[in-house]
Amino acid sequence: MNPKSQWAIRCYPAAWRKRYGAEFAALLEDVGPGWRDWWDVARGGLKMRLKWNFATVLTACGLLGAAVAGGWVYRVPDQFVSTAVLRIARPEGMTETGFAERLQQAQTTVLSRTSLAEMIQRPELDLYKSDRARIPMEDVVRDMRNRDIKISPARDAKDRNLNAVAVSFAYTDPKKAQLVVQRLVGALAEQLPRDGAWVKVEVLDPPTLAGGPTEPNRIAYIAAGVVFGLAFGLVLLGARRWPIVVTAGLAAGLIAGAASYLIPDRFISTAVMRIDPASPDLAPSVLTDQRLIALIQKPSLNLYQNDRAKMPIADVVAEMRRDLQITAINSSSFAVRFQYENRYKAQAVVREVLTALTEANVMLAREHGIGKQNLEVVSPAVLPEQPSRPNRLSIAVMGLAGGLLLGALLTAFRRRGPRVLAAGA
Amino acid sequence: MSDPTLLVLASLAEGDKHGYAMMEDIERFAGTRLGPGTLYGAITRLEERGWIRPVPSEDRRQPYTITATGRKHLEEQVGALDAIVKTAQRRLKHA
Repeated sequence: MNPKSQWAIRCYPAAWRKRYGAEFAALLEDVGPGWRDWWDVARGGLKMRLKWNFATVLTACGLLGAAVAGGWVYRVPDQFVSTAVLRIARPEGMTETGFAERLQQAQTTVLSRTSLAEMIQRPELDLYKSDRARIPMEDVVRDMRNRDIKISPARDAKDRNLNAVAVSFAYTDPKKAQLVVQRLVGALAEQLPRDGAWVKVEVLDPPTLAGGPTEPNRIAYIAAGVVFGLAFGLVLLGARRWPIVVTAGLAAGLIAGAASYLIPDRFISTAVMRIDPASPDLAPSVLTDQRLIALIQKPSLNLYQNDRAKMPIADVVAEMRRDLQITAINSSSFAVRFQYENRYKAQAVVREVLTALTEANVMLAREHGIGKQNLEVVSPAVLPEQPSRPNRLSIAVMGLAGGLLLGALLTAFRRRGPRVLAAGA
Repeated sequence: MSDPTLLVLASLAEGDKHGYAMMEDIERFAGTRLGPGTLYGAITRLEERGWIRPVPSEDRRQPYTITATGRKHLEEQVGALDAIVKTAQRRLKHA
């Protein structure tokens, strides 16, 4: 047997080689194979090796999923978490709710856009450099606040008047993670007034220098890859056995996804302000019908143009009330939120409302005899980058689910159909 | 008719043949050249189903023969194809 034939026959499973190897080699010697024949031999061997049964498909897809997840997860940089624990004493006579609100206020200020943006850009920290080159500062701050920083209060079991607060920050550089936690702890302590015996702040555990990386959890990601691979394998097997189900599902998912682009985008702009003390009349005084009509008809905004052509202005105002919300975060912090199809107009409306709130606050403060400055914009109106609605992914997934269901019903009906006819014949 | 298993059965219906002889015969009567991998894939399946069996031989080239069940299967397949061919021819004449 010549070496080429030997290698070609190795493409086939051992059991097959044992039974047919000698005669197959004889055939190859007779044929004098060209490249097309070698390709045919290789393809035949592969087909023999890969018997596309249930177990083979699932195993192959599971391994593929693990390989893809493994390849991806090793590209993700390590994340290190630094943590500090603060103990804050609740003063005598202060209610738990009041104390929790005070803590919440301090937290809102520490995590405000201004505070975090300043921290991110400090030369010794210089955080999220590559992110800042790609995405707006607003998004970097949002990710830092929502994803990487965790401030979780925990009551001290021994002393009910002592509250323990854990502050942690996850970052790719362990030293920077520690520095950020140091600064967050400092900022939090600064926000809690320590005049007299009001609040006592004590650092129980100083910020740790993070040890081993906590993220990514590679085993979990690879396990997730295996699960997705197995799910993909089941879809493949389903496609072979029940092609209508899979085809209908994919087609409906694609159609729903494409159709979702007909729904106009909705952008949400949000701002947070602190007014302490706040008058309960403040928000209603700003959201009057006259003020909203003035906003709607302001030439630079010109809101709800299509609706105004179709319905009376009172209905347009009612619609705007649904889109514009002033909600209390706590007794002194308010979030102003407006959703609209144009992101610049969404931001402009929130700015207008902030201005109106500031003006109304000055008037009310004067009426109530509050002399000092009691208003602070904690987070200015954000220019939304991504639309909040429609959620195209969920629409496509719902379409997929609907299509799969429809396909399953069609398959069941088709299988039932001939039997019914045969029974009737 | 391009199913390799039917082509092999049709070739063996004439008499016992080894792989290379089958390839040449099929190319002659069907105008299709089966590659060595395709041919032995078909031979493997046909033997598993009991439609062909090896004939004892001293040569490294292994001849095969069609079995009774293989012949019956071929007759059924050819009968079905024949009906299709005749119908198509009749319709083409009247078209």
